[in-house]
Amino acid sequence: MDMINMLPVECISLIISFTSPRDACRSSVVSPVLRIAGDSDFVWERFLPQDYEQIISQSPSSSSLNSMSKKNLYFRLCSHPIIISNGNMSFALEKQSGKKCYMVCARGLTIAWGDTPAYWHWITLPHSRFAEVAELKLVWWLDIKACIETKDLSPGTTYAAYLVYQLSQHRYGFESPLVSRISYQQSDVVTVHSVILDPRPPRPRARDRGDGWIEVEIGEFFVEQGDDDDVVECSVKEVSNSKRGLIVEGIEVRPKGI
Amino acid sequence: MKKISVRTSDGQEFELEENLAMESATIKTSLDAFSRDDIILLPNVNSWEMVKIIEFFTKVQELETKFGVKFMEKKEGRFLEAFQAEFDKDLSDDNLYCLLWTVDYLGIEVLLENLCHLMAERTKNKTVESCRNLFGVQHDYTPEEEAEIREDYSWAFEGPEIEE
Repeated sequence: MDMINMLPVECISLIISFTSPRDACRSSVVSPVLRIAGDSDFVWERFLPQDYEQIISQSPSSSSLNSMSKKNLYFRLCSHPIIISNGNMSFALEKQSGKKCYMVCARGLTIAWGDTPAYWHWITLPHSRFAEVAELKLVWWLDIKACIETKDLSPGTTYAAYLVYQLSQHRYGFESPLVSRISYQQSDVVTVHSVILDPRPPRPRARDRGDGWIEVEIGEFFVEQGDDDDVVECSVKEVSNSKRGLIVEGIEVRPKGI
Repeated sequence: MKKISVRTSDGQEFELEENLAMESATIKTSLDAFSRDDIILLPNVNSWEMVKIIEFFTKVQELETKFGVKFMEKKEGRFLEAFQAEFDKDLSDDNLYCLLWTVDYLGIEVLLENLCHLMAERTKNKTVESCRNLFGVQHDYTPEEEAEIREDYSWAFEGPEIEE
C-alpha cells in the first residue's frame, strides 16, 4: 500500500516529530517525501527545548539564530555553544536527544580566594569561549563550586558535571586527589568522589576534550522535573597541599554518557 | 447530551455523542451549514473505521478524567503511552494508515496526535529498508544521492538497528 502518498505531508511531519533527531535524520534516507517532511520547522521545533526562544534571546547572535530554519538552528546549537546570562554561561544542545547542556564560566563560579590577586588572577585566553578564565598562582585552600538551578535543565535526565581546565607547565600539587562533590540544596542527597586533575599518566576520569581544555567528571545527578525549585551544587576541593598552575574555564553539565 | 447522526460510506448509521462530533472539524463544518437533525453523510469513512474512532475517543475521555487534564493542553507522555498500551497490538500497519487518513480527514486533532505517535513508535530504530516497507515506498534515490545523505548524517547511523 503506497501510504506515503495517501497521507498529507503535515501528517508525516507529525509522525516524525514523535521520533527523535536521530530518527528524523535517518528518515531522510528512506525517501524524498520523508526527507521534506522531516526537514520541516514543525518537526525541529518539537526537538528544540520548549524555552529555546527565551534562551536564544539572551545571546548576542539572537537575530541570526532566529533567522535560521529550526533544523539548522538545532544543529548550530549542538556544535556551537552560545553565550548567555550576561556572559556567565554557555548553552548548547546534545545532538542525539536535544537535551540542554550548560557551562558556567569561571566568573560565574564560587572560587575561594578568587578575588585575591595574590592567589588567583583573571586572564583572557583566545581559545576560551568566555571573556575571562581564572589562573591559579598559588593556594592551599582550593575550593571551586557551581550552583545550577534544576529548572534550567532537561527533565527526566541524568546529568554529569565536569570541571573544565588546563594545567600550566609550572603546575604542582595536582598529582594528589581532590574531593569532588554533588549535592542538592533542598535534600540530603550528596555524592562524593575523589578525582585527580593531572592527566599524566592517562587516567579514566581526566580526559582531553579536544577543544584545548581537559575535563574531569565531578559526579552525576538526576533531574526529575525541571520545575522543582532546587539547586545542584557541584564542587571540587582540596585544602591540605599547596597548588599552583591551574587554569579554570568553567564547570559544565551535560547529559551523562556523552 | 445531544446525539448527532452520521452515515458512513457503506450505509451504516451511527449516533455520535455531541462532544465527539464537535471534535471533528469536518463534522462541525457540516453541522454549521445544515440542521442538527439531518444525518451527516461521510462518504470517505468506513463503518469499521467509525467504530474504532468512537472506541479511541472514549479512551481519550477516560484518560483525561483519570489524569485530570485535557490531552491537548499538556500532551504528556503518559497519555500517549496509555493509548498505545490499549490499542497498538491489535492494529495492523495497513489499518493504522487507514485510520490515520480518516482521522486527518475528519480533523480530530486529539486522535491524530495519538495515532501519529503509534506510527512513530513503529519506525524508531528501524533499518532504512524496514521503513521503506512500512511506508510502502519505492527506492527513490540514486545510489549516489543515498550515499551523500548517509554521509551527511553518519552519526545517526551508528548504533543498533532493527530489521523487520
